[in-house]
Amino acid sequence: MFGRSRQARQTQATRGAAAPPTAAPGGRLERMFLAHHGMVWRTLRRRGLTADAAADATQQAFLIAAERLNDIQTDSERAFLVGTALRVARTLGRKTMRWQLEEDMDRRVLEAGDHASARAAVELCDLALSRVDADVAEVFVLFEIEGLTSPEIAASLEIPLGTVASRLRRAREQFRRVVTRIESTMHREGTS
Amino acid sequence: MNDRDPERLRVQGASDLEQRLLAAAAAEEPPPELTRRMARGLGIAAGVAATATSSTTVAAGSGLLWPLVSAGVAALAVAGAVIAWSGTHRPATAGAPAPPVRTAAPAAAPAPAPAPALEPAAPAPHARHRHLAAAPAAGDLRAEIALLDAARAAASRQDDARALALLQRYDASFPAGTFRPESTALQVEALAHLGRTERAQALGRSFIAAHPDSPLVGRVQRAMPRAP
Repeated sequence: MFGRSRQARQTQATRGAAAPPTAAPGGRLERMFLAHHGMVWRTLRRRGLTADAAADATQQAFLIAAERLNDIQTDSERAFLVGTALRVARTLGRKTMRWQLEEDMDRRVLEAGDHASARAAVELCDLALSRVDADVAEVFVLFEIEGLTSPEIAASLEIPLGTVASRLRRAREQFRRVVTRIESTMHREGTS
Repeated sequence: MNDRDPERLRVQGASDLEQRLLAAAAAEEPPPELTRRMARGLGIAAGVAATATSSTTVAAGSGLLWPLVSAGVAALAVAGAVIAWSGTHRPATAGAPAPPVRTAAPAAAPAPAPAPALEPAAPAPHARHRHLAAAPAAGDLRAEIALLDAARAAASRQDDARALALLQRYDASFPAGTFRPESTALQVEALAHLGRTERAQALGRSFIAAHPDSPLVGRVQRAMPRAP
C-alpha cells in the first residue's frame, strides 16, 4: 500500500489480484515458525516470562508476522520476530514473570541445587539475568545465547549499532559480576 | 558472526560456570505441548508442530493449514497488496466459506472465514486467534488489527478521510499499540492524499526522528509530499 500511487492502487483493485510474491505467505510462516519459534520462546524465557506466557507472546509475535509477511525481508525474519516478541512481552504484566526482583538471590542459588543438571543451570542463568538491567540484558541474551549478530540485534531492538556494543559491554560486566557472586555462594554452601 | 562482532563469551573468556549456564540456556526448548499449542493457534499442521522441537529442518512442502485468512489480509488482497495464494495457500475471499480445517485440537471446529472487517467495532472471533483469547493482551491485539485493517480497507477504497479517522481512533485507543508505527506511516500517506501537505510532512518528520531505524522509514519518506 505504501509508496504506490493512487493509479497503481486503482489498477490493482480493478484486477482483483496483484503479482504473486516470491513465496506463498502460508508456507513462509510455517517455515519461520519451524526455524525460529524456539529462539523466540527462549528469548522471552530469558526475560523472565513463565513458559506459558512466553508461548503466548511467541504466538502473538508470529501472528503479527503473519499480518506483515510482505513487509519482512527474508534475511530479517529472525530479527523481526524476536524484536516483535520483546515488544509484546513489554506489554505483559508482572504476573507473567517467574520471580520478583526483591527475592533473595542466595536462597534461590541454593534452591537451584546441583547446577550440573541442565534445568538447574538454566535456572541459575535466568537468576543471573534477572539481576542485569533489562535493556542491556536483551542485547546480552540475543548475542551470547541466541547468536544474533550485532546488526540483527540493532534491527530487532531498533537501536544503533554503537548502542548494541555498549549495552553488550555493560551486560557482560553485570552478568559476570552476578555469576561470580553465585559461584561464591555455591562454594560457601558446598553446592558447587 | 559479523566481522565487527566481538568473540562470544561461550567461545572465549567465560568461566566454567558461565559456559555451563549460557550453554544450558541456549539448549532449552519449549515443551512439546507448548509448541503444539502455539502451532495450533497459528493454524500450523499438527504433524509439523510435533517435529518442531526436535528439529529445525524445514519441512518443505508440508501443508500449513491456514484455514482462515484474517480479515485484514483479505481486505488487502482486494486492494492488491496481498496476492492470491497458490496451491493449498489460498486467500479467503470476502464472505466465502473457509476451506475445511484440520487442527490438532479436536475441539477446534472449522469456522467460516469472516468477511473483511471494514468496521472494527466488533471484530469477529477468528479461529487462528482463538487460543489467544485467553492470552494477555490478546484482545487488544485483535482489536488493534481490526482497527488498522479497517483503515487499510478505507485507504484501498481511496476513502482517505475515513482511513485517517480510523487511524486517529487507533492512536487514541492504543497509545502504546503494537502497530503505532504502521498507523503513523498510514496517516502520513492519507494526509498526503488529502492534500494536507504540511501536516503530512510534520508527521513524517517526527516519525523519522522517533524511529530512525524503523523499516517503515523508507515508506514514510516516499509517502511524504515534497515541500513546495
